[in-house]
Amino acid sequence: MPFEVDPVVLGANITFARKKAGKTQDQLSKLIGVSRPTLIGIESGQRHATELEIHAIAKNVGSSVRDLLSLGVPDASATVRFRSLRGSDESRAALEALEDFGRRYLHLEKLANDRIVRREPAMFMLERAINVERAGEELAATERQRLGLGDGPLPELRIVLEEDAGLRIFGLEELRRTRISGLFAYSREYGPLVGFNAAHDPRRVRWTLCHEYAHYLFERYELEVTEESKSGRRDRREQLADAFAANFLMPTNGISRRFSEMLSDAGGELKVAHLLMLAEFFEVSFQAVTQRLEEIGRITAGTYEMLRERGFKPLQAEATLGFQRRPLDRLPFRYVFLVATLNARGVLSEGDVAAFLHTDRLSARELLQRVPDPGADGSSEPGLDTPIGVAT
Amino acid sequence: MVCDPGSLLNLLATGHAADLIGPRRLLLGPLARAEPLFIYEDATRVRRLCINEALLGAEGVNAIGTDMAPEEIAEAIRLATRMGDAEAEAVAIASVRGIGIISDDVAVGMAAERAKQAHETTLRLLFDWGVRQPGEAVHVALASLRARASFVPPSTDRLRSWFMSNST
Repeated sequence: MPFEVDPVVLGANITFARKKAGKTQDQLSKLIGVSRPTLIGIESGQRHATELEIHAIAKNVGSSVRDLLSLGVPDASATVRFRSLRGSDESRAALEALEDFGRRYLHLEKLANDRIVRREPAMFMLERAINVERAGEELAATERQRLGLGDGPLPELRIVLEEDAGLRIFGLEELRRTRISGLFAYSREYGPLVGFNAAHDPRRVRWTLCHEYAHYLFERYELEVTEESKSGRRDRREQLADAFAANFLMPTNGISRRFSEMLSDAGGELKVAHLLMLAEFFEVSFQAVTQRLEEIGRITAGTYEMLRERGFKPLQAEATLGFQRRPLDRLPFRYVFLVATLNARGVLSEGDVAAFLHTDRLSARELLQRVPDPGADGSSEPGLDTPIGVAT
Repeated sequence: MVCDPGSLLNLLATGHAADLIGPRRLLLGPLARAEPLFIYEDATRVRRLCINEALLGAEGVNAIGTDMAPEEIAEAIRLATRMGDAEAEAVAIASVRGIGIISDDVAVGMAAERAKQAHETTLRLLFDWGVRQPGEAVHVALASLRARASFVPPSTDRLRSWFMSNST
C-alpha cells in the first residue's frame, strides 16, 4: 500500500516527542543511526522519513508510530507554557497527561468533523479589584447570569462547565499521590483545560472545578497548579478563585433563602444535621457550607473550627444520614462519545481507543459502554449518531 | 493465524480458546506480547487476570511469539496511518506472510477486506463451534465473553444480534 503521510505533521510530532523524551537531535540521530542533518531535515518536514526510520524514532522517543503519523501538529505555544512549570516532579506527569488530552480532544473533533465554536467570556481584570472577596462574588454572579443559572444549586455542574462554559475537564490519575487538587491551562488550539485529582472526593472536585474556572476567567494565559496550602496563606489570585468558587456553588441569595426555609421548618433550632443537609443540597462539603454560612453572617463565626476541634467527622455523619456521592467521570462525556463513534466507524482501532482514554483495553471497553452505542454508518439500529431531518 | 491483542483477550474470555482455535497455531507479534492485557477472572468482575504465557498454557492455547522482518515492519508503519500500532502489526504480519488474521476490530476488518485477507472474528469462531455444541455451552461462552472481556460487538457485526440475545 502507498505510504501517505504529511512530512510536516510527522516532523512536528517527532520534535514534540523527542523533546518530551528529553533527547537532543544529536542524541536521537545517533540512536537511530542517521546523521544529525538528516534528522533535522525530517523534523522540519523537508525530508521524507523511511518506514524503518520512523519505527526506530518511535522506539527511541517512547511514542507510538500511530501518534507520530496521525496526531495533529502540537500547539507550540501551549507546549512552551506546559513545559514552563515542568520543574516540579509532582505536577510533571499530570501536566503531560493534561496536554495530551487537550491535543487528542482536538484531534478527535477534527476526525469527527465536530468542532465546537467556543464563545469565550471577556477576561476579568484582577488588577482593578480592590477587595478580592467582593470581586469573586461579583464575578460569580456575572457568570451565573451569563450562563442563565439563577441562584439555586448546580447538580449538573460538570455539564454546565463543559457544554456552556467550554471547559475541557479531565480527572488525572497522575495527581493521585500528590498535594495538587487541580490544574488549569489554556491554549488557543486546545481551549481551556482543567485537570482534577482523580483521588479526591466528588464534592471537593466540584470546588476545584469552580476554582480553576475562575482562573480561566481572570488569568487564562497563566498555567495554574493548585496545591493544598499547608500554612493556609493564599495570595490574591487564590483568594479570588476561592471566593468565586464559594459564590458560584452557593450564591448568597440562594443559600440564604434555603437556610431560612430550613430554619423555619426546624422551628428556629439549628443543628449539625441541618448543615449536612444544606451541604447535600448544594453538593458541597460540610466545611464549605459551614464556612459559607459563617461568611454571610447566618451562623456564629468559628462554628466549623469549633466542631472540628471537638472531633466532629462529617463523612461519618453523612454516611449515618444515608447520603451518597456521585463520583465524577474521569473523562468528558463528549470526549468518550467521540472516541466510541470513531471506533464504531473503524477510524480508530481498539488500540487507539485505549491510547485516547489513557487506559488498558479492558478498562477502555468499560468506559465505552457507559455511552450509548453510537451506531455506525449502514447499521440498521438507530444510535446517537443517526441523522435526523430538520423541518424547514 | 496471527491474532491481534483485542481478539486474544476475547478468545481467552470465552473459556474455550483452545476449542475455538482448534489445531491452528496463534502467532503473536512483539507489540501484542508486550502490551499488558487483562480479563476478569470470572463473571463477578472483581479480580483481573493478566494475560501471559502461563495463562495461555493453562488454557491450552497453542500460541507462539514471532519477530517481524523489515518488510513486515515497513508494512506495519504504513498501516499505522489507519489503526493502532498493535493492530497494524498483526495485519502486516498476516499480509506479508499470506496467512489469516483473527481480529474483532472494525478498522482491522476493513483493512483485511481491502487486502482480501482471510479474516476471522471471535464471534465467527464461536458461532461455528457452537453449531456442534449443546445450546447451554454456547450461552455460557458468550456470557463469559461479555462479562470477562467487557466485549460487545460493533453494530456492523452480522452476529451482533445473535450475541446480544444469547449472552445474558
